[in-house]
Amino acid sequence: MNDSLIKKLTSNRITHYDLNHLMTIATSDDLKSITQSVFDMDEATLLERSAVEGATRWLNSLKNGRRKALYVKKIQYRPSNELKKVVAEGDSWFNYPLILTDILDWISMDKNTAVFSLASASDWLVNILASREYVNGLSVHQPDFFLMSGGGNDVGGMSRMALMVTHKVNETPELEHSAWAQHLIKNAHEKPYRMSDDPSPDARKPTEERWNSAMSYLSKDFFALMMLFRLQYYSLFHSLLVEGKEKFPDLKIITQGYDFLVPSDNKGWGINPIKWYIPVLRWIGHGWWLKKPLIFKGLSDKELQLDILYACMYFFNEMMIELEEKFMEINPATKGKLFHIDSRGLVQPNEWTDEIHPQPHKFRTVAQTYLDCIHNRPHPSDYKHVYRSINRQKP
Amino acid sequence: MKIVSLLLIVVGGLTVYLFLTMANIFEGSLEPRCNFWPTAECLEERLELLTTIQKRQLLAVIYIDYWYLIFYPFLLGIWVYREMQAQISLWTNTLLRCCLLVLAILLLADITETVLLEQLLKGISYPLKVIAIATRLKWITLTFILLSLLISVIGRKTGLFPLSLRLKNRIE
Repeated sequence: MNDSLIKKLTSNRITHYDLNHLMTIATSDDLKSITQSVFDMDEATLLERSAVEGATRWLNSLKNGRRKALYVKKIQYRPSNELKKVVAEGDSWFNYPLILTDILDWISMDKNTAVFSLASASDWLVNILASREYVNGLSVHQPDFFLMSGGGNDVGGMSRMALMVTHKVNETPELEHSAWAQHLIKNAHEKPYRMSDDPSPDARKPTEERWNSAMSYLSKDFFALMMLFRLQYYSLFHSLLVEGKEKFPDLKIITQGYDFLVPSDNKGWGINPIKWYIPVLRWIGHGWWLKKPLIFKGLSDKELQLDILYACMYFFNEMMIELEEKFMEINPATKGKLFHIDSRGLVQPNEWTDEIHPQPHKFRTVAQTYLDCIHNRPHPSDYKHVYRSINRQKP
Repeated sequence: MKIVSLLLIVVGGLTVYLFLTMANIFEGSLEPRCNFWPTAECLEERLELLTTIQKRQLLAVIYIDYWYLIFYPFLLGIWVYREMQAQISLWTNTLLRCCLLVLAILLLADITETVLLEQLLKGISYPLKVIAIATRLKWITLTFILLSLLISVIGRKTGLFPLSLRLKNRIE
């Protein structure tokens, strides 16, 4: 039975009910099978290609080494009831090893938060879940919070963005075949497009017409990948909060939603000396994550590219929010243990270091959102279990 | 030896040298001014005073300068980077990120100065004006970096900076 559901999932023809059913019964072998099908390569090849190696690995470990030393200092010399222990796993939003001050750097500066980092730049979610390094980290440190940032490289790595879109307009958009994705829009806190009477300050929000245009280019592979993320994250939550309930009784998990990424291949030269690092860092992968893969598929229109990325990040965030709600509904004992950081709309198009990384001051605002979540300081604009970065900006 | 101790020795030594040079200049001595803020004329005067043997002796030890050139910007860079990642204040974080660029300029100025000095001692060319500019640039950039480090470290250890923010917090 699982095989037929998996086939339906990978072709984006699975019903909402079946997806929820598959989510609760999928074994690790099923997840491997879906991963293999979605990524179109066997698991060994995928893990080999997505592995973090060479200089990146060395730089990652240097930064994590420093963070670990700071973590030990805080635990050793500042033990207090207010001190929260955090284990973090994820990608370059958590560990950007060069020049930038990333989210975990900013969080580590808080005197009441001790961060043990396992994060690696350019790590894939599939890699993180397969290596299960976090399990040992959580067992050893028994943290109050587990911070997880994964999924970005699964979409943008190896120019995979090209697979998320079709080269021509789908007469029937894939969205119409996905009752689950339609449910995400219905369940969302805000509509994905700007209504005529919408006073929304979010400049990235497209009109309904532009949204529909972007929808017609999203491929079935994109929706399949989102569903795979849903299954992978469900399995992660289940293993830690339900199966691992006795091992980690007080553990809370915070997930990362990124922002509306900006496809660009601009080299970033300018006259502002404070932003000197932008052209330097744009030598690393910039343009090849998003912009060029979209051009490979013949999608060169800048506005369309922005709208496609808007839609991708919209669905990723809504997927995480809905999944966590659903998970806490299925497992009532986990209520209040899952949180999502929604940073959509925070970083303006001119505030990116490169296509997928904000400038340090924006990382700082996202880090502040994490700290507010860790130390239970909600903002009036937060909703459900979602902490929003957009209203935490300092003037 | 911990890397922090090594960094302290390197930067501490340079700071003391800078301080003493400045003190000499303020006392009216022209000799240190030529070290710190040279002109083509004072460099030419110095060159004329050097004997052939002294020039050979200097050339024989110039390789030490190249080792020094490799290590001290590297160590200083590590310190600046580490300090940057410890700065809670956005402006000192940005200031130290700028220092990384200034450090690259310092390294270039230093390399230029050493290479041209070697040419000068070998009698290949006499670009005294360029050497003077490179030396000035070297000291400006180094002073900028050391001052930024000083402000950032004091700010982090004492919470003194930024004063306006502290004042604002008190008013609030």
